[in-house]
Amino acid sequence: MSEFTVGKRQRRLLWGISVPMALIALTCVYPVFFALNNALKSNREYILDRFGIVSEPTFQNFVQAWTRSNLSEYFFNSVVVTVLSVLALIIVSSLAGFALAVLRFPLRKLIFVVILASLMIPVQVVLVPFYKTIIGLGLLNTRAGLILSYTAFFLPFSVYLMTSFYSGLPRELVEAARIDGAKLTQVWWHVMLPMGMPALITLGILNTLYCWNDILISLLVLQDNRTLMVGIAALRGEYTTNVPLLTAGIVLAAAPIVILYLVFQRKIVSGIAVGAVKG
Amino acid sequence: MGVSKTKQPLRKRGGKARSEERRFAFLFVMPALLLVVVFRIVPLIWGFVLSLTDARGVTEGAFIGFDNYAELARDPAFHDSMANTILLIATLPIWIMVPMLLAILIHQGVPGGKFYRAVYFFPATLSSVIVGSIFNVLLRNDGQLNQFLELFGIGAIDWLGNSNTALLSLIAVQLWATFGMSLLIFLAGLSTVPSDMIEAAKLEGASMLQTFWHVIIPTLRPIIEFVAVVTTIGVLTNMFGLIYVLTAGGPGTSTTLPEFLIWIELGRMNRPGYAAAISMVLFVLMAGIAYAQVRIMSRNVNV
Amino acid sequence: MSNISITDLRKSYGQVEVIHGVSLDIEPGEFVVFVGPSGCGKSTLLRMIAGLEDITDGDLEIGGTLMNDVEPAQRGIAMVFQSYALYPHMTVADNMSFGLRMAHAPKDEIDRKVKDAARILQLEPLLDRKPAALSGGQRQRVAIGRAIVRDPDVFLFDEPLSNLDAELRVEMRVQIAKLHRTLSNTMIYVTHDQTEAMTLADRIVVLRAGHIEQVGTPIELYEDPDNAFVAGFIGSPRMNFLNARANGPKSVEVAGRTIPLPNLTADLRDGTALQLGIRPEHLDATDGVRLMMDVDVAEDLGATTFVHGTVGGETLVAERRAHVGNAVRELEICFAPDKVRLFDPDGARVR
Repeated sequence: MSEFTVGKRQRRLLWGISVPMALIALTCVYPVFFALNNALKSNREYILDRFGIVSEPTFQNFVQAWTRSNLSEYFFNSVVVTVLSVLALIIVSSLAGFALAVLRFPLRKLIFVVILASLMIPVQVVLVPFYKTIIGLGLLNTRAGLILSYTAFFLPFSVYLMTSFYSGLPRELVEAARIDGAKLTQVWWHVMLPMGMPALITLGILNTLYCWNDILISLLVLQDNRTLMVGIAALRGEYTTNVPLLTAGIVLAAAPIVILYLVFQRKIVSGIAVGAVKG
Repeated sequence: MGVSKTKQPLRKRGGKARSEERRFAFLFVMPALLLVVVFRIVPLIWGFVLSLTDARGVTEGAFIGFDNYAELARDPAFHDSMANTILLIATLPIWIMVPMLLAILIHQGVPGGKFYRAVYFFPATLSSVIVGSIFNVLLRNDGQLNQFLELFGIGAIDWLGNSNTALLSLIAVQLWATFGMSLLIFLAGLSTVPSDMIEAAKLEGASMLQTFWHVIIPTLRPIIEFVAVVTTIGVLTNMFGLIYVLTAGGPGTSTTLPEFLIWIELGRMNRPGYAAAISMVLFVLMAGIAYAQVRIMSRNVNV
Repeated sequence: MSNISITDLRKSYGQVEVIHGVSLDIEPGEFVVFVGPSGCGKSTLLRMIAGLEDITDGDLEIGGTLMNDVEPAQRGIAMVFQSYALYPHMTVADNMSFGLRMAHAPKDEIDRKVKDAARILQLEPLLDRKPAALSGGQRQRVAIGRAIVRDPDVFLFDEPLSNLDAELRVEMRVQIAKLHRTLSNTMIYVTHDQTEAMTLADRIVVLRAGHIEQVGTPIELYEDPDNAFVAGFIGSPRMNFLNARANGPKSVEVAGRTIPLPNLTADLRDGTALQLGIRPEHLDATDGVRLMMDVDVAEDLGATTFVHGTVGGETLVAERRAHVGNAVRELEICFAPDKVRLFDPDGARVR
């Protein structure tokens, strides 16, 4: 990665720098380690030894969090909502990107600007009327309502990415498909989707992150049938004194993303880098 | 050559083929447009109308003009939230410098660079709820951080309970959680520094520091501006979860930010009209930043 | 196999007209080449025939049917693009069968047509590969194969050989010529390379700035150009143009010498300024007008030498089928007067 052939003195300097950098890395990892560590302690052990490493690990807290505190339900909700939302985002943004980048129709520029401009309208700015809209459409407390909301709020960047990606593709590919007699829906399915893979993967990763981690929108829309993060926030209130139970819940909630990150870390980081350069 | 026919009137651009393309194009773009209009654009306008009423609970509320805004101007909670926002934005240089410095170090070849890159980004994958919950425990008066500081002889500080340190703690935690993203953006930008410029500088005898200052920084300037804008918008609109879980705005209003205040006014105070007014102020703030961003980016395009 | 009839075709982008009333008739089974410098509109014209560009005015008929507003897929055409436009995520076989699969054709029909096309172009061993694993020439053949599978009435080629290196280009040129002989379809071929035009075409259409300059067989264009542009475009190296002045009803004066042109139909008015065109390869005659040329540079290519120099202040190039040493300062050129082509100052041919 270095573009210099570093001299000896500079090399020693870089080694010296790596000490504080390692310390920072430690702080990045410690909190999660802390959570895991304490999740494995029984409440008794925690009270007796709050700061040490667990000596008698137990999975009890995980079981309890999963069953007694409804976390399994919340987990399921989050999975369903996240998966379906990401799917919806991929489909809607690649369709819109295809139309905006390649097809010719009136008001094309205006529609693109409108979708992009809505980036300026985060949930907080329309909190009240958004809430009323959800109620008015009968979508309160429905998973469908949350999926639609996520799609609406994470669309603009996705559409921007797909539009700019598709406009970089050679137009002759679409022309050849037209000459071959493919209907436009067939062109989308057989050509635009497969060719859009790199951008769609980046989108998939980012949107999974956003949907899984979201709290504000899900707090508004799904009130009884909660998602995981809302559940964890509530857990905090209910179990402020039972730290091991709380951290067990936290670990469970963080686990999917953390595992995904550990496995796909390289791809995730490079995917985001691609998105950053395009932006 | 062809037989000359009588000249036909100029044909309109169209025909069956074209209109079908148009139909499909609208079809393809409709879901995105519809979603965005229904859930964001219409609510924006509606929100503005709402902010001019004194709606309470579910009742419609009467039109009261700009009274809500006037009240906002007098509201101490709102003042505090704006003051906190200004404090937050004042710390922006750190939010930019730290990731930039780390990105440059990694780019220049600090041993273990790729590892650091992955680790530094890790916190950004965690939900603000997760982050807040963990640090809530860590930052307690009898929590792990104070325990650690005691090793150095520093007395216990009630990080979250003391209104003097609460905002600082909030800022620090948010920085911890998000600097990895800025780091990646800087790294991406550093990889676009043209290597022949660096080689040319080397040939002319420039030291690492000189090259850094005269070649890398200028190339990074648009990225610095981009990160500044993205970070600002992020702290204005992405800290809700953290505040909700870490401090609930407290103690008092020391960690209340406008986006949290909106929630309180809607949920606890049940004053949707008033909350809508705060939303509008937030929107104007963001629109101002967006305008700045557009101007900066279009300036960079010509560069 | 269809004929194509274009009548007064026009194309405008907004207020700017780029194709100005082009009319042309193409016979069934003919190989027609559109040729011309960059920006002359040859690709635009081709794409209008294909249906990829709208026709602003005029009529396009394929096989007797008006096709102005018909979808490309319905026109009975197939197109080979300059960049091949192969789908990178599909195998060669899938690329070639794409159109048939989208139309839900029966599987055995798809297999048969792909196999036939693959056989004609020797693509059989490559059917399972993806485009990234193919060389440029192979990719071009797949693009042609995809066109063949469509079983079109008309083949359209948009500068298909421009992306290949010189050697491959010659090989592919031969392949395309053989293809025409095998399939006998009507073919329209766009190129900026006049060599491709001369070797492949039954007829050549020379275009410039959205107008047709001349249509004719390669020999017609070579021997009997309508204007200086066509004369200069066709034939390599380029025809020499010398300033001349009429000094008799059938003679001109060039570089101080009088050249009789008995084959002229019209009578020249004394003193008219003219351009005298003579091809470099015709300056090596045994009998005829003799002039002395001052040599600047002799380019020896082995079998041929191009001698650059001046005659009476006018630059010209002469071709010799022999070695001409670099020390040579003067060269005698000789040409027969009937090889001269005369043009007025605007470029129009004086016959």
